[in-house]
Amino acid sequence: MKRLAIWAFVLSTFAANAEAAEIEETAAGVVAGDVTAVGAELPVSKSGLGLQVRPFLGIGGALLFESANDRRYQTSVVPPLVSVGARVGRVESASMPREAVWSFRLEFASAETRDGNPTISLLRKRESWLLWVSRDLGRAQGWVPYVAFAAGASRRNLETVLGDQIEAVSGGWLGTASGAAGLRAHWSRLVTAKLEFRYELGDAQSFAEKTIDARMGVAAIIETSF
Amino acid sequence: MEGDAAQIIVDPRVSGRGVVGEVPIGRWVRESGKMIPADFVTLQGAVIYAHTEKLIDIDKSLGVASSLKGRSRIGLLARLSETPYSPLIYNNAIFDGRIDTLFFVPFDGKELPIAFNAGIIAHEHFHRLFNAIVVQSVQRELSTRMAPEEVLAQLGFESAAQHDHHRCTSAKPLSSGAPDGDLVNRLMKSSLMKQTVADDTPEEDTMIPRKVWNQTLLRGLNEGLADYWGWAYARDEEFVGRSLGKAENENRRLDRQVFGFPTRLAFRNSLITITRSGAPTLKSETGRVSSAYRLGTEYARVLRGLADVSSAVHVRASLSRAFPQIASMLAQNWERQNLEPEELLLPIVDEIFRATAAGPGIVASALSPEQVLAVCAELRRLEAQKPVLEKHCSEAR
Repeated sequence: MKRLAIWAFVLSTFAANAEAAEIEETAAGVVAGDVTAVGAELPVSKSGLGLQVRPFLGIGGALLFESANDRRYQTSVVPPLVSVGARVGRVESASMPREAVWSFRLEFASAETRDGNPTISLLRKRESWLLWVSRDLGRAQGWVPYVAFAAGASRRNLETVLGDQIEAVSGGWLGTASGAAGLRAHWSRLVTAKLEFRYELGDAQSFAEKTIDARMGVAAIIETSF
Repeated sequence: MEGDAAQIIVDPRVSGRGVVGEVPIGRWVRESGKMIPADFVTLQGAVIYAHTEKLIDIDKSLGVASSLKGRSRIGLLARLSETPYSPLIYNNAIFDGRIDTLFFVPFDGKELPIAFNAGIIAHEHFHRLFNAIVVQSVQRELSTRMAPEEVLAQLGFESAAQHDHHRCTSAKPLSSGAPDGDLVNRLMKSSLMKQTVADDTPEEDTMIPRKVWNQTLLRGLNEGLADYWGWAYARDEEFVGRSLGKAENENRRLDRQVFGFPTRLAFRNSLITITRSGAPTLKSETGRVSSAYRLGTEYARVLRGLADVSSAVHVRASLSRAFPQIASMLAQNWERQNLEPEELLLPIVDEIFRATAAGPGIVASALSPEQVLAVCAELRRLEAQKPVLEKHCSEAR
């Protein structure tokens, strides 16, 4: 969580600087950074290439099915998601609303599953950090479709319990990539709700070399811009 | 998850091509040079593989490993049922000699899952060994005297079924759900007392076909020796109950003392039940399987007692050396007479006393003089047959 806080600080500082730069470039009399409803008259860059960056925080959850050993051995995991990022867009003309069509976000997810019975059990905790790049596919109000791709790393922490004996270990960080497609509820400039379908591929340690695990499912995220 | 010792498959199915299933890819976490299983299937597979490796090392040290054809094939999360229409089996392990595969069915109990139970893994491994050395030898010998189908019928083997739910009626499950052993023993003792006279004219034998008698006896022997093998590996009196619960523990635990070798009369009585009209009749197949397990527990407890006065390793080695004699005894007498429960243990007793090469040019008993005395005392306590005592214990008084 400490790393998440550092990223939040870095991104918000970057966003503030970007907003300041934009103020200098925009026409006189326009209040930069004005939070207005979508579709309202918006400031236009003099050059026509004004860049807007709006940082946001996101929280949500996912329901992912994890296929590991074989077709039958599937587990569902419900990791909570926490993310921080920024939506970035260009202002190209007066008729085009000031919209951020690209977004970049760093997402942290952590989920636990326990297999076994009261005598012997295995607790698996999977943590992942993913850097997402997302692109809106439309600029209309309401539901905006988007696609996203991510790369990052994940690791497994294990706790094997046999009676009163516990063995806890932490695995190393392994590469993970993900793709998503979904809809963003674009009703407010302050709050955005997203529902997406995800597919993740991640390295996993087999005995001698690495293998690949797949996870698939849906995620719901609420993002608050500031 | 496969190697020289075993091949582990998940969700095994029996089809016309043999046993098929998913070959699992183990997931691990590497920490400080150690590999830690990272999911429950990997954990089970790793435990089973490690034990199988150790058991094969024991087989090698005993000189019996070469009898096994290839590595062990082990199915995890196997969906098995007695018949295509009966419910799936849970909480059991089943070795099927027809396809040389050991199945672990799903476990939903609160006790130690069978896949983690060292004693049960050794018990099932023993079935593979016994099948390869004894049962197949008997099968070969009988094939010289009868048609192949008749041999299978005599030994109680059905042809491997080819449907989704592998039929395992003639396979060797770990447990039969037998009734309480002590109760049965008490009933048996009272029945023995009542039928002492009938022993001379065993009219009930006529209602027990020889095939059924010998099949049940062979099954009991197989289970009993497997229980001993499991105990000798895990050194746990309660290894069966650790996974199958208290009732099975009381029936099968090996530290209960027996007061004699299994007898013909007790075995005969265990195969017979009384109908409502009071007439004796042969038990159903399920009942006979329970009888086989009870007989097996008696065999295992006899060997456990002999291990106490010699050593567990020595009795295990003696047992492995006795395989050819047991096979020969079974094959020679199979369709000619009802086999004697006690006699099937005698090759093992002979091997316990046998002198072996202790060094170049030196032949000596593996037992010390004190151990010989103790084993003889145990055999007398068990009321062993006179020829056995005369053969081995005439000087040990």
